[in-house]
Amino acid sequence: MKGNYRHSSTRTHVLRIVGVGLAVVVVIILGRSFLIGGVSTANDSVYRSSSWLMAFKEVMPQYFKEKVELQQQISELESQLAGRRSAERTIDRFVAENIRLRSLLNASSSPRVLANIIGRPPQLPYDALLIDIGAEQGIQENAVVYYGRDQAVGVVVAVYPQSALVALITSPGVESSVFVIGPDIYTTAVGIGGGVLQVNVPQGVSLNQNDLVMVPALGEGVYGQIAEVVSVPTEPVQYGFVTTDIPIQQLRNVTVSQAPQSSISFEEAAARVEAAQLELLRVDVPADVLVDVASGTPTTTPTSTPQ
Amino acid sequence: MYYLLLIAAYLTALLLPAPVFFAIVFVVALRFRGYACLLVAALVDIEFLMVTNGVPLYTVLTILLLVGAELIRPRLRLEVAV
Repeated sequence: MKGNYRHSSTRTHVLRIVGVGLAVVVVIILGRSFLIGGVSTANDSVYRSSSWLMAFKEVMPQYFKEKVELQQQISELESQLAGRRSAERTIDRFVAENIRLRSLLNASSSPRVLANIIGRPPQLPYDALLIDIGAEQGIQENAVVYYGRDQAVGVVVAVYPQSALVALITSPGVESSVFVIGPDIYTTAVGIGGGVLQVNVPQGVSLNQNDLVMVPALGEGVYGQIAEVVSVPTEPVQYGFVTTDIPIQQLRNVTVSQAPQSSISFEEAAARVEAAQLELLRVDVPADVLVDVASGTPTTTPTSTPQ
Repeated sequence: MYYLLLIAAYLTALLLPAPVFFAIVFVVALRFRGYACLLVAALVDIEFLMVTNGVPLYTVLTILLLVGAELIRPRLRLEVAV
């Protein structure tokens, strides 16, 4: 390292830093559309390399396992698979039922595209996801991003040629109207980052842990459940903290609707809430446990008990 | 050394939590004055500006860190390596 050191006026340098900094801020804001292509390509290559390395790190140990160990693992996985098949049949039945109910409500659903997540918190700054499909695959801004079949997690806010940026509804300061199943109330949730939504409701509302929460504007599915309720009797407000079943840090794939989301009316939101609640009411009860009587008109006349 | 730290800052900004990036920026700012850190922060902000309602948070915080380092350096009796 060179040993040439020099003293300078602090004030001059502070002014220079502020001047250069403000110039950079202006360039970022005004010239973003010109620079975004190159910047997105550079950043994406870092994210893709990182996710490839992570996947490689997980796969590599498989090559060094013993044959016996692998056979044991195969038989374990086969038994798990057999268990899953029955669960899948249940899910298929629910999906068919959901489609039927949605058709009764005249609800339409757009086709979705599968996307791999190449950047997620904490690797990404802010509560956002970076996915590996973009404008070339037909992704549009404001398209809803789902995890699984119907759990909406966010909205596409920027589309690049081969990637897209998804803002999660848990991004700090993002407000969304939610419906809490349990107390059955509509309220406003605010994102607080880290994959957590905060619901503020007045004291007296029966807000409990594990109450399910829906975001009707994003889809008809359930978003997550209340993981913690903070209620101080002397304060007028109680707080519920909503998390998803799977932390955003563990998401690997999502699906993106091809049609952008438009704002919905309260009536549409109420219809979506009703559809989701109907879905929740159905439980797959085994036939040997189920005590059920076919509905119909009674064939006997009612009798009164002697006093 | 300066360029290695800048590359480390860029990779850190993209792959690790934000405090690690700002720690590197502060070290670079103290030792080298580090105007180029503004460009690294800008690379992050350009892509993620839509998530923060148009506020380039990384760049603004980097400006504050550079100014802070400039004010603190004489008290720590550190010299800038050129």
